[in-house]
Amino acid sequence: MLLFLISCLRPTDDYTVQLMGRGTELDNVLPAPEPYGGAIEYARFRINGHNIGLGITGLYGDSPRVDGTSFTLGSATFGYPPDPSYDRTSAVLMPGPPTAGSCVTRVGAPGWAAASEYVDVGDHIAFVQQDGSRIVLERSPSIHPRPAGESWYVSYGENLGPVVRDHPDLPDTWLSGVSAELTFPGTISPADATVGSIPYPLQDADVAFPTELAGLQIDGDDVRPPQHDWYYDIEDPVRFPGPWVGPSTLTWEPAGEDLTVQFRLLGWGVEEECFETSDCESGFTCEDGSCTNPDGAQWNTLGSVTCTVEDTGEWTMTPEMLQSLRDNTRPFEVAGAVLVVARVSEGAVDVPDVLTWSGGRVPISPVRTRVAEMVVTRVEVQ
Amino acid sequence: MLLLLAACGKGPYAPYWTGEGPTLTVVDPAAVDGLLGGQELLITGTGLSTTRTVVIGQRNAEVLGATDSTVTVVVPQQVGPGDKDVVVVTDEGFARADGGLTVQGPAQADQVDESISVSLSRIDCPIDVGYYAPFWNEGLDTADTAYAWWPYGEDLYWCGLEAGYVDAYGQISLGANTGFAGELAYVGSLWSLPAVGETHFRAPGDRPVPVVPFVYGPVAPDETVSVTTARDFGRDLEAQGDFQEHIEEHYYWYEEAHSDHGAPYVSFFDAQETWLGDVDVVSGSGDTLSLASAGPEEATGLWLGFTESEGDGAFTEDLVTGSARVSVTGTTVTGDPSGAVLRYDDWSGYLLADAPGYYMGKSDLPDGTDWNVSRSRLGEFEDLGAVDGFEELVISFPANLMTGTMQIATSTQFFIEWEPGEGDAVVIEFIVYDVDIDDPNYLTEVARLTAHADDAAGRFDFDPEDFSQLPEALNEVDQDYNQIGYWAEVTITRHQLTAVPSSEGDVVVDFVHAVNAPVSLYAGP
Repeated sequence: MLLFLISCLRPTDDYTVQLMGRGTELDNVLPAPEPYGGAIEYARFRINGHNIGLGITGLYGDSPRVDGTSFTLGSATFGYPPDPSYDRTSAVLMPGPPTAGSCVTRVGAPGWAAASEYVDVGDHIAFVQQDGSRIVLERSPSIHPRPAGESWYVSYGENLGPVVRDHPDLPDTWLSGVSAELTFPGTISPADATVGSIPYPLQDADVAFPTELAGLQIDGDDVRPPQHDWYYDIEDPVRFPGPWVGPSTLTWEPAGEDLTVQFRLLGWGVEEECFETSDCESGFTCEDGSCTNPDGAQWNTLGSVTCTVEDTGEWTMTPEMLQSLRDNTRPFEVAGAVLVVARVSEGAVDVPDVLTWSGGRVPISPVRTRVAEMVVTRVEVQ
Repeated sequence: MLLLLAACGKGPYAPYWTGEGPTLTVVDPAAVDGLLGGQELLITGTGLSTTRTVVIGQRNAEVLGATDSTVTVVVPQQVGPGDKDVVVVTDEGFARADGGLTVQGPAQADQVDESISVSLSRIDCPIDVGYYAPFWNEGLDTADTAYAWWPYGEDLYWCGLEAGYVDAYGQISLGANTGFAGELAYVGSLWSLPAVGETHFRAPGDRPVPVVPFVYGPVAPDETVSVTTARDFGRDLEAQGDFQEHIEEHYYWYEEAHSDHGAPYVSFFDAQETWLGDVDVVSGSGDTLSLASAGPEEATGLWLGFTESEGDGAFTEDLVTGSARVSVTGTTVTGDPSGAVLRYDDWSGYLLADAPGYYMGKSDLPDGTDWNVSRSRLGEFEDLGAVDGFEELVISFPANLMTGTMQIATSTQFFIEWEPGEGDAVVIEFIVYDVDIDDPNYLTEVARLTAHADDAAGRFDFDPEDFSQLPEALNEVDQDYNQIGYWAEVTITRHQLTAVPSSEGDVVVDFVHAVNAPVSLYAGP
């Protein structure tokens, strides 16, 4: 009884708690994902912001920084039985809501697609252009290492490539506003492998490449590649305030394809070891023996707000859109933020059935396809 | 109960095929030479008329045609050496010929049971590079030349004053990992080789050489693999002198800028690889080095170097020519064996050289010596015996390779000559890059001509028809002396592979010596 009475002396306060789902618009609730037998994704990244590293791809660290550059990234995996994670998640850019004009808030790092068993579809996947030239995503592993009992993993792409367009000798590695045929040759995995395989080639499948995202501005300022002058150590800080206290307006050249706009809050992260800041790459400082980016680690996403935006050429982000993300993120963990503006061409293709490692037949169609044209820029945090 | 148990025998999925599938009886030829594929293969069997997919060594083969009893295919590129399964898929099922095709690659026998892969490599390359500066031609009459090319001018570094580097890597794989040692130096890939005496042209847009697959094997935290030879500081100092002579003979600026090499010295490091200071060297012999003054007794490692100065000392640069783990007593330094002690690095997964200050010098891989291989893990030491190596690759033609000023007219006969050796393969590669492309992987390759030469022959003649496929690469610079346009380089690599058995499979050691240089390719007359 005494203990009970003592508890009355504990200080109390009002806490900003609210009922889960309160204030949520119906359009902001994502529909249940559908099961897919894999995902084939390809993207062009244009890093048009200050002090941004390759951690944004999820494949590499951030050092050295790559602001001002552009590159392509392909990624594909297949699995059986079909799994909704191929629909809900992406290795390139987490999808927005299906309805234009709505947003979804995700707290924590995005997950990865997964299935019970991986599936091998041949030694490559190709986007075949009209002139016959091909953009190829090579298989990893190139051959299954022996003994094949360890052959449990198969993926395609997972590496960066240069953006090549209208080159006198090399084929294009990026297309805009056109379709390409999607192919793979089919295969039979080694007798003692535990992955499935699609024995037959993929035929009569197409993917659409989105129209180039042009004329992008934030509050009237161009979202452009920084022009640093490293010789004189002069940086070109292409950074934007962000919609923290007031609205921020995006403008672009419309092309009749919805946009995906994603605001990411970044946490802290360290790169290589160091004794002093001069040991680190540009943009990093040496803290506690490790090179640290004061703008946050691109590979450490604390949360994001992803909006599907109608392609009208203008859209305004408001502080209210970020409120739920801010409410669910501890301020001391936030080191920086980036904004990703993208045109994502999402589709699905039907593929031949999978041969399981034990000889069974499993239909896995459809397989999700996404081709994304992405511009990444730096947003200040407050 | 019986019914219940019977249900356990039923798989969750129906069989993929129910009819009678194809059969395979003969693969002709049963063996091919070289890893680049391209040979036609006739597969004989039954039920083959609806062939849809053919897989050889897990790479997809192009199907040229099929009848009920035969399928004609093209052997795919880079399936790796050894016996490869051949699989044919038809509408009715599939058939597999286990080990149906043998692919013969270089030094295949040495690599069959490869579970520990080690590469010790030495790359020699010019200090700086000649280039094409068209803006210098303004106002000049250059009508009678194909183009005006200037070997000297504003110094543009190619490899820098060290004129190359040495490296050592190791990997421990789970199970046999045939052919991995030959790829660890990232130069002169053995997986991209045609048959001996042949060339292969990789055209713009062709698929890249596949990465040799690898599965990490279990590694103890204290795991080391050592490939070492007896220390001789006298030899190390002699190598330093040889390199100074090389500078004098190959670079115009040595005399023009009144350069001076300076006396040999050592930089000391402690166990944390912190620099402790420099001391001049008096002499060296065997594992003993004599210093001009006392060295720091807490030192555990050193670099051997000298200071190159130009323009009467206006410009100086320190060069590291070798390294050693040491103990120091007064003016006497005692060194460990030369070579590489490779320790497991849990960040990268590689076995990395335990080099003082994280840097090895060229004299750490001396040529013409006997080497010893050993392994140590969990306190147990295994002496794996002696191996031959490292045989220096001496290029006798073209003589100006190491000056960085080589030009070749691709329309003419061209050959490369070297002192014949006993290596398993000599790989000659001409690679053209477009340096204007913003590439996240450093440089974008446009074309590559690869030749597989017989080391004992000491010479490789290029067919002008093969050679003329390479695009023009003038090695041009802009007015700020930045590289622009197409640039070309040539790399000549000797691989010496040796396998030594250990308690857990073979340790395959690849001694690699490569010479790399820029080369200006022009169409010529």
